[in-house]
Amino acid sequence: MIFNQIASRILAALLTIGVSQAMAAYPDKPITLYVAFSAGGTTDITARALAQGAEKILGVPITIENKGGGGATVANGLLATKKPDGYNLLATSTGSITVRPLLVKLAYAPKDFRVLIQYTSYIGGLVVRADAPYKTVNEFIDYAKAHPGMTYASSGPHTQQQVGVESFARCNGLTFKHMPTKGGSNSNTALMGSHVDFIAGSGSHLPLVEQGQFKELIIFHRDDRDPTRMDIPVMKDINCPPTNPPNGMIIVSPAGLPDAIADKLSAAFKQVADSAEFKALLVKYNLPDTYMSGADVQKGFPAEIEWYKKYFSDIGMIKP
Amino acid sequence: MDLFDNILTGLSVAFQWHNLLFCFVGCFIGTLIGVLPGLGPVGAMSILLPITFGISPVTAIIMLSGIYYGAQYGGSATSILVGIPGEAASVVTTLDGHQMALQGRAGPALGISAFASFIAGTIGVLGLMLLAPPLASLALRFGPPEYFALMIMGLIILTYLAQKSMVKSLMMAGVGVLVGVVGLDTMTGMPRFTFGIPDLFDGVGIAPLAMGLFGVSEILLNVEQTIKQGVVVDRVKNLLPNLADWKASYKPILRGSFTGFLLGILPGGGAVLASFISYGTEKRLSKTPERFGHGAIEGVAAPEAANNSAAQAAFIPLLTLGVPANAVMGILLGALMIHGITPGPMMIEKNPELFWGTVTSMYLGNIMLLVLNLPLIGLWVKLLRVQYAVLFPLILFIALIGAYVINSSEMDLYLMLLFGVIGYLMRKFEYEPAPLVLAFVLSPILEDSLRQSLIISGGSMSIFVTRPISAGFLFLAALLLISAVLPSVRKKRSKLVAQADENN
Amino acid sequence: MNAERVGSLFWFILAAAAIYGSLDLGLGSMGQPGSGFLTFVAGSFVALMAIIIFVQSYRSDPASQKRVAQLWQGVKWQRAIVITILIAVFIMVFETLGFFICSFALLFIIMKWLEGLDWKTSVLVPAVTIGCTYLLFKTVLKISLPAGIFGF
Repeated sequence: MIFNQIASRILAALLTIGVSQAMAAYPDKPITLYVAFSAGGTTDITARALAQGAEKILGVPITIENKGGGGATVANGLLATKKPDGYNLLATSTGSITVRPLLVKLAYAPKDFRVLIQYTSYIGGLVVRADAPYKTVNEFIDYAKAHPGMTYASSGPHTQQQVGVESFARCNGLTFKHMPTKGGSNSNTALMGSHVDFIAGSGSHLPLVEQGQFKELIIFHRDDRDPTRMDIPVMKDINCPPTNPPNGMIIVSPAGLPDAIADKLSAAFKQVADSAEFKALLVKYNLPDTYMSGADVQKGFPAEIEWYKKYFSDIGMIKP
Repeated sequence: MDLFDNILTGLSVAFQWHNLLFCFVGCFIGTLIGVLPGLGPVGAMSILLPITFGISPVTAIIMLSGIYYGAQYGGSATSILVGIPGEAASVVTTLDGHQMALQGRAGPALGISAFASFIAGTIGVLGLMLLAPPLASLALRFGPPEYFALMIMGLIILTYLAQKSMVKSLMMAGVGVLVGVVGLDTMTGMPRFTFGIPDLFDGVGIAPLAMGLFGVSEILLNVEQTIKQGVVVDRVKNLLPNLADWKASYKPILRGSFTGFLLGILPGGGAVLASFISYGTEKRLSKTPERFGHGAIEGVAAPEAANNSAAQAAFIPLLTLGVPANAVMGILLGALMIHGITPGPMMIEKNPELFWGTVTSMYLGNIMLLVLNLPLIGLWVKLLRVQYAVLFPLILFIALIGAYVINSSEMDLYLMLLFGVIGYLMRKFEYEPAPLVLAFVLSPILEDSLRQSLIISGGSMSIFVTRPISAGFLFLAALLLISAVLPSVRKKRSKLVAQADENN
Repeated sequence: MNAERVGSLFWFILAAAAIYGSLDLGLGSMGQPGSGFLTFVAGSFVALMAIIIFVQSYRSDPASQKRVAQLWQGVKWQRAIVITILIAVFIMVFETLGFFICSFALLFIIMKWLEGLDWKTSVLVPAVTIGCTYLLFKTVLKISLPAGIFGF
């Protein structure tokens, strides 16, 4: 009896020492930051920049591992199985966590994650080859009507940009064939090789537009034209209702991460996101500066889910 | 002349003392990592990436590339010496390389492997300098149907690895494809065959699979033997390849280099595909194919050349298009981005010293690795003469630690043990592990390209034959299959004819 | 029992399980291949090969075929089982007891007990190897190995 008491006390003491050592010492080994899309896309590039900056602040290496597929659902599903110890993080989209479950059965739910920071939002548009026979969005629509079944690549099923393309299609009475890839750079390659007719550009197409290989015909996820690219129309310019609003690019950890570690990580990432180099990177890819704290992002989840529920039932993608 | 200027630029960059130093450091660390089965260059490069912050982008890329190659050289050494392939590209080297080691010819095997890699590296660098842009546009023409056809051809060639039954090899390839399916579906994100085990969501790791099927199974088979001796036959003949070896190897090396270079450009699986396609090619072209699998030096020379030139070629999509061909290139991409350089079609023009400096230092790296590795051969050979009773526990230990540190995962160790037992049983029942492992590597690409192709074509299989490149590969695959089956059909027919004659 | 038939039967059962699982996952259509599409095709292929091997075993010379028991004749298969169990135990306690204890125990037990080597070898060789490995991982590669509840 007494032996049991003593033994359990010793065990408790050992455990407490172990646990508190673990927390006090965080981080004491390399952190893995998974990226939900393939290398070279906007999520990947910005995540790498964040990692490199945060490494210096936290003092341990942050290794990037790309786990593209399923429009971020593969990486999300994987992260949901990891321990919330602060050594497994993921750069992904808010949409794949909150919105996607409305459309398909998934291996995770919003409650499986803790958001640490939102550092920008996704952009998107319809991008074609510069040498294509259609030079404006109206010419494209005419061409598509004459040639039903055009193919396009996107960063994954039901990603923000793919939904954008489908909204565009619905408004203009077009049908397309969708080929999912693991990320923006794979889609770019597919278009460069003319294996698809156009892509749901997700930001990484911009350098190629600048270099004259691609052409963006219309920008999605904005109500008004982009001030830096006024010559590209938005949905209202072709009498279509606006597409879905942009999802945020976020860094998450599995749910249950202790506050002390979460705060440390969020602060480190925010510091990097505030830096001039990071902001310059965002400008380069035309990504907006839409920082939000992790807590605010999660508070906004229910509203976002409701909004998308209505949006999808209005356009007939789900039953109300 | 333009090219000459570029080479001079490159050399002037490569020979700067800090670039030489970091190249050496990279090669050294890379070799060390390569020798440890399991870890692989990706992990090391990620961890060492922060070191590159304070230095110039050229130097950073040079060091990281050094690690990448060094790991390849080191990985070959382990495959040959202990028969444990640390990564997919070394699997094929194990087949004949390890057999050579067991026959006391570890020296020539290691030697030819180092030289083949060096020669292939030279050819690769030349190719990079002369052919980068046109090859890049060739790579772009590979869409999902082309990849699928290439994978099918690859799977057929896998059967050429077979020593005994082709049917069994084909079946092992099929099983490999099935094992590759385990994990999350890359198009829907839903778990498949994971039995609710979270660690399997990411699929089975190549390292535990290969190390288990090859390494652990061999240990289990060896401990059963009653005679305890050194791993190798006591007389070690010579330390370097002799004239006969060179005569046999020079053509395989050349062929392997070209195959490797062409295949290495294709994102995803280039080096692995190259290694066994070159092996299969050599076996097919050889007048004595039955030697393969039992210590034929061509079976080491060709794949080693192929995977080295493929490693060079993998730089092409990154440096010319900004598209990373594999995880290692992804890291380099990240490194370039930190230093403010956006790889892409404009990169060679805007940053010539980066491109040419990297290319020439790759060459230097190859020389350094040759110089580093050749003296080590003597050391490795001595190591092999240690009593097996002492050696195998150490090999086992290294394998266990190597497999663990990849993901700090207990599950990986269990998987390695499981595949070790499966491999042990497989070998007893005369099924070969190599086709399984290689098909496993190809499985995700096979599946994704199949599904993508069918989406593009709207469900029609004709897409594979209407596109020229894809049709070409499928035709080749069919030819290879027929020519592999034909001899045994002919044999059976002549047997039947002979029997009929006897009965008459 | 004929070894070829037992072997092919095993793979056939595996393939059948894969096919069953693939139907569960959904085959989809040709234009929209589902999650189980490739699994179904590969599983069917493996099953077919297994059947071929099974049938072939009846058609080839019975004298050249082995029986299952023969595969384990003349070898000390108990040692293989012991090693397997030792590895399994190692894995089970690795994270709990830590790198040093488990590695040393595994190597020592194999060398001393299983292989019957002398004390000096069984202690020194593991100690040196484990030490060097630890140094390599800790300093050059900066990878940490499990410390276990005893803190080392």
